[in-house]
Amino acid sequence: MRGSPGAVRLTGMSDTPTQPGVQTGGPPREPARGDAPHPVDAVLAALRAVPDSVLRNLEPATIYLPDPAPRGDSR
Amino acid sequence: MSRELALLGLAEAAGLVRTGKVSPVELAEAVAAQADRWEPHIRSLILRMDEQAHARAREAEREISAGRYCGPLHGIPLTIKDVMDVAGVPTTVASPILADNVPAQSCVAVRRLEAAGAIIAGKANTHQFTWGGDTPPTRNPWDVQRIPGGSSGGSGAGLAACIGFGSLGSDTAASVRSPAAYNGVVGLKTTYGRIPKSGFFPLAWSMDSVGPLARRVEDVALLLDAISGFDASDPSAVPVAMTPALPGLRDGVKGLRVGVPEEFFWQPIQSEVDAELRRGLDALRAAGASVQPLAIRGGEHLQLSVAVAFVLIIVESAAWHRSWLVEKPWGYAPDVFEYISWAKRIPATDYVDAQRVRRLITDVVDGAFAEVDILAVPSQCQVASRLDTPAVTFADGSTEHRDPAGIRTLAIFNLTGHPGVSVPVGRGTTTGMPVGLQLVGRRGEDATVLRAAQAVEDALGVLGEPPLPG
Repeated sequence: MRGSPGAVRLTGMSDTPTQPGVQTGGPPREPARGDAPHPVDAVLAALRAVPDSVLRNLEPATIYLPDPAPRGDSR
Repeated sequence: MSRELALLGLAEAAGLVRTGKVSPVELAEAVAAQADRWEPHIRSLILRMDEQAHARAREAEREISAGRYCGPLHGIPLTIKDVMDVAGVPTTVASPILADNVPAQSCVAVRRLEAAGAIIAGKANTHQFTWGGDTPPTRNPWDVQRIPGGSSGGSGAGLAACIGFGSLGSDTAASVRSPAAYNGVVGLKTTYGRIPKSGFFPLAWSMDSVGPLARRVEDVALLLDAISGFDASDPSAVPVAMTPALPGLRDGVKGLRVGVPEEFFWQPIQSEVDAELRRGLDALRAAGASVQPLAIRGGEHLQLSVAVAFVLIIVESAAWHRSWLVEKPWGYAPDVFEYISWAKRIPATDYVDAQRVRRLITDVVDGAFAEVDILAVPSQCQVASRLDTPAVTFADGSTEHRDPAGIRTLAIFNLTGHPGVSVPVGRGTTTGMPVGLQLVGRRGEDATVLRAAQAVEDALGVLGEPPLPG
């Protein structure tokens, strides 16, 4: 794992091949006391480390709407 | 003869059909024979549609014989990722929950292909609910002990094995470009909103794009032009015309400004990948493009793109799956269930803050396009991992899990909406695995990125069919 705020380590990916159309197995076990930190916490930590001074003037992005007249091809 | 036909590019095959030298039936049979050869090894298809394809090919043969040729897709067998509806066959997204989900009509993009005369030869495997980069049980035809990438892994692996002349995939964080890079084919993540998504199973609405894959750039351009265009049934479809890609594809890149942002995108990287990517940059330079290092203003914020992408995808997909996670947990692979369930740990304020940082990232990338026409970055900084090795090791000794590594240079453009193509530049000298260069352009300028990719392909060629395993 790299040390940058955007680098996150994810776990829990299955490497076990299954039949197409039947990738199954249901929920994993609930976390127990003493488990390692949850991977999503690293994701959130990176996000929460963005200082207020950066966030203050930002409105949430909206689903992209294009410029009125996209150029289409750079010449 | 059958195998030689299957190895052709789409446009080449189309030329033979148009002039009557080859019939659509011969093409359909060639693709089925190729699937017979490869599917036991790579399992790229969830559903083979041999009978339907053969029947449709006979129909196309009659139409063409009667003088009703309707263009370069007429009689051409394609595959469709199993997230898009094809009338009369199941759309399963690789989950048993949807085993009986048989749509009455095809999605908009497939309807456009069918109207152009294309033949759907099969549904390509996807990582379940498009939530991952392994696409089990599909294997990479260049080394069947390695992953094909994902989630459009069936499309990428199948095309590399010459099962079909093109495919439609979807890309939310990497899912067209990653399998394109890992399998040595061309894959385009289109400008957000360019291809209507109606009849398409969503992962994250604000980041999903439909994208074509093929073995050659020209073929991707042909597919793109066939499926582009506004449709009112998709609220995110862009209501403006965009320049078609095919007419100017071979106009060259003389004077095109290509920026190479060395930080973030290019480090850390595997040595064999870096070496092949430099050949791609040299090809652009030799073709007349101005290829220069680029220091992106505000580039330090780009490293947040992986975290932002994960938060947005987790939360948006959890909104879609909320009731099924409770009522039908048996229908989820453990990894997919776990990823989506992470949403329970993410407050709404974090989702909104992720969207705020997304705006910042978008502004930074837009700023870069004030200075250059194309960004040239790795599609992947690593070759496809072995199935049993989830950690990627880079030249500087650092390691990273293949999931975040697999979206590091790609997801950012799903956040910003820009088009990006992965074009093969060669095979690594250590592993022999394919390497892809990603070329990214301004929103709406899919034609420009394909024109640049064509220059790379003209210089470096295509990879051809891998050797059949043992």
